[in-house]
Amino acid sequence: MTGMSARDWRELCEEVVQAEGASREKLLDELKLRLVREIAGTEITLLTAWISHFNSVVKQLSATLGVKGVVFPKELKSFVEDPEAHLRKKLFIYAHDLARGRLKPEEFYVKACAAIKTSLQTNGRALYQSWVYAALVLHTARRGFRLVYPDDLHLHLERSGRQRTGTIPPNAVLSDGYRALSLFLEAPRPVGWEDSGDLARAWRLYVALRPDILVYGGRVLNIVVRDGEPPVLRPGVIVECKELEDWYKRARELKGPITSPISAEEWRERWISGLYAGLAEVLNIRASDVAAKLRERRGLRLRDPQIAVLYKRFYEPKAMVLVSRALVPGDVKRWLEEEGIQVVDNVGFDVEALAPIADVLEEEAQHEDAGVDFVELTPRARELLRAAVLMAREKGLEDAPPRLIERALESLVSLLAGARERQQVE
Amino acid sequence: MIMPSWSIHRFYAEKFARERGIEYSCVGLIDRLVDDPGSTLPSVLEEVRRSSKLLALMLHDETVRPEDPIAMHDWGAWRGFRASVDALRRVAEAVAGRTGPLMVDLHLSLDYVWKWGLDNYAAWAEELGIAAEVRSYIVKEFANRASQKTFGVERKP
Repeated sequence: MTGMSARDWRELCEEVVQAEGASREKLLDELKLRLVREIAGTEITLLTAWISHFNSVVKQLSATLGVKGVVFPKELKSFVEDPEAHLRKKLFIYAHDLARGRLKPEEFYVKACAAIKTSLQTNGRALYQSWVYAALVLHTARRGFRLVYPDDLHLHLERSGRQRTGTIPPNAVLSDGYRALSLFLEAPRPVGWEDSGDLARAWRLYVALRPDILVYGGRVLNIVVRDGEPPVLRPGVIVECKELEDWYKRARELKGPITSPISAEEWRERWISGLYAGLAEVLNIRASDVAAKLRERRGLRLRDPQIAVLYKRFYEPKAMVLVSRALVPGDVKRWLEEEGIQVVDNVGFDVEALAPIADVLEEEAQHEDAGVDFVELTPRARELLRAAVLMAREKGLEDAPPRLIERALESLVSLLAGARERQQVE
Repeated sequence: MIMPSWSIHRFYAEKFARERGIEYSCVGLIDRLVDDPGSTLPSVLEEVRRSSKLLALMLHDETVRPEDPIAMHDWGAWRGFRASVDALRRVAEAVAGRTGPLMVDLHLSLDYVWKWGLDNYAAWAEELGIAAEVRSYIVKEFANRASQKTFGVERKP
């Protein structure tokens, strides 16, 4: 144990175990609060600053693009709203186990530390990735692109529940009226399935590599390739974000390539077994066989720079960029660049440092075949358009609103041109 | 380490397959994949790629080769590298369907009992995820011989 003295610690734990009812709840809250501040005080201050950087970009997006808000994934939303409260929630089950004597104080401390550390890592990663995503949207907005999908003018960072129909839709489509870009955050993810046949097809999405941002030229509303390997369309650009100082020293285990597909029946059996194991845990009975079956197997271990190269080899994008918050050592940077990965490092939270990536995205933006574009109308403009439609009908003109707007704009341009000519004559 | 020859592997694999009514034409290929992956993998890589492009990349591209002992003799089975053995099973599945992983488990199990007998076989097999039907076959075949120290193919008089 660090910081908090062993005596304080044990005393508080003992008090929790002995207390009952409301006083126990109060002691548990105090314990969780002290523990979170003890273990994660410094990191909370750091990540609170990261949240401010993210909010600052959202504010600029609001001014440039008219973005009305952000739709966060559940966990990140909770963390961004109040990091300390979010981390306290992570201790709920362990604190409860401590109170009912299922965990000794030392065991509780170890588990609490691990839970807090994991949550900090997960949310730190999600925050930096979200900041990069938002900053890239801001860059493209400054270059004349507007958010045309989804049409609620929100920055969508989540994708849970949006794939139930068997498709993977984009998080955003940006268009300047002539060219469009479709952005996908942390795709591919599993799509909905109902039986073994569906699951067999969706399986590759469960085990596929998941780069941070996939970018496609044009309006791409679904990237799933049924029975494909890779299971999604070939992306134009992959953007991978690295928030940690020493990310290049780290390694991860990939289970996807060694996991054999399971049938829908096995899936359901495992799901029920999982429920049983959870129930057994709550009821304090042995469920060792089930737990053993559910124990996670190890995957194949690769270093993080290798995984970046693997993304490139697997998806074969036209371009791949790696954004590192911190400086990347020369040899690692050179190695990645020799593999065809553009490295933009020492970015911190400097939006301007991402301009080269915005260049890559703009190059990828593809001409739109769609003959229409979406423009947000002010309430007054909507009223005028409605009045124009009604008046046009009265006059026997059955033109649809887009055609009427075209006529109105032609009249406006003609008026302005006439005014300019008159000014020049005078 | 003394290992059974491929003819001995074939003898037990055919017996195992006949008892279960499963196809065993893949036995030779599986033996080569386990013992000599370096020269065998290139010929099956396209089949593996169709099943898992990711695994195929890891097997043939040094740049993205995992730290685990994949595509090496015995695939780290003796050092308890479960993930490597799982990779081998996936390769076997890609080239021989559901029989492939069973034949891999049988090959590795035969290697084990040849060297150490049935001592600790159950624990080793559990750690490595050896299929239950292979475990029971091995125990049935070698339970009596373990005490007599007479492994190998029975000679007919």
